[in-house]
Amino acid sequence: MRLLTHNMLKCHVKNCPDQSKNFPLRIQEAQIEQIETELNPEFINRMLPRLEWDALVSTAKSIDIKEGKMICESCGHIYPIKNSVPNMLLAEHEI
Amino acid sequence: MKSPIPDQLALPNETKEEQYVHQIYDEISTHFSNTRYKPWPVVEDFINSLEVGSIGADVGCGNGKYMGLRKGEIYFSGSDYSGGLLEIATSRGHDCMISDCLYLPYRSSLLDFAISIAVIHHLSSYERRRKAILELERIIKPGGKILVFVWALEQSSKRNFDPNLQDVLVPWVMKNNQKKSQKPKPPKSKKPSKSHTSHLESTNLENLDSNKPSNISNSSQYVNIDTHISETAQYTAENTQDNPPESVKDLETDDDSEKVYYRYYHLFKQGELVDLVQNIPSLEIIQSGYDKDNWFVVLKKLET
Repeated sequence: MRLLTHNMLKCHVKNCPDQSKNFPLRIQEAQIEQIETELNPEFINRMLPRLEWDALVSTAKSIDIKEGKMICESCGHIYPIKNSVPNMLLAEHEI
Repeated sequence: MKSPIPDQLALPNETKEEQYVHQIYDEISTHFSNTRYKPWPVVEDFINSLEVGSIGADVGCGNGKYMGLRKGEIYFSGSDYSGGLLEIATSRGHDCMISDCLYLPYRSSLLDFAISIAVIHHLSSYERRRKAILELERIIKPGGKILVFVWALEQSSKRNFDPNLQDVLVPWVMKNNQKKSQKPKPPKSKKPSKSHTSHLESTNLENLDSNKPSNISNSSQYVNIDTHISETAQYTAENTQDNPPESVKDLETDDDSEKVYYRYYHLFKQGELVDLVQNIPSLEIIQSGYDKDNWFVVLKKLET
């Protein structure tokens, strides 16, 4: 999972109690990989306004997360990441 | 004879989709992916129309066929229920997650675009299909665009669906040597199977990619039982009402050389997709039409 994707995600458990804390998901026990990409200034310029800046900065240490977890600071739901793929499915009682 | 089996499974929607959509795609992921490489023109045009710097979601991205388009110019976040297909997409360098199209994990009003290609026809009630549209609407920002493709009931080129039968189980035939070999499977109990399998035509099952590059695979790998349905499938159809429905999805043919998987589809009638997306005050229909055996709509989220 790339940092850009992490910036798009929130905890989406139904009735997750504190909507001010369901984003960003805290990253834990992460294995990180750096992937080189070509610089496209036009892309960067237009994409930047879409980002949640504080969340990006606070997560900027990690680049591609291969293994790890994302944890909701509000309800504690754990979204596991395996082979770079987050599992964002919810249990039945959470939808 | 008609190939799809009427869906008469008395199962809750979630269970039906789990057994007849999600599990099947995980089983057939490699073979399925080999048949999915050529972008559809309408989808490609939509993606090409997006501004540089756009970020968006491919909801039901499968093997990530569209996610590589305009690499470096736009950013795709892919999601799918099938982890098997996502392994393929991820191995191609795409950024994906496992997610349910009814409960997307994105922040609201965030993305510039969303595409849903051949996904919503796998949802087994009107309410669920409608909810899938509402989720797409939720995640895109005002001014953002949505493209939705679903299978048409009226498709005529290779399939002839019964015009009165919208909810069907559509067979996918896979030779045993096309299975994902690296994953050892627990032994399955033998299912009742009478009879022979009729001759299977060698053609691309999905009828989506007519110009197949020769380097992808030879055509004999693609089998289509639309026109020559096997006795097995008929047998299964007759028994779905009385027998445990689990027996349909992994019924083996008698010589064990190939296996038939059934996927649930709701086939859309003309006008039905437009009806589905209507009466959502924030969405405007920009374009709708028929392409490659599918109905499609392009929607725009209105500025409020």
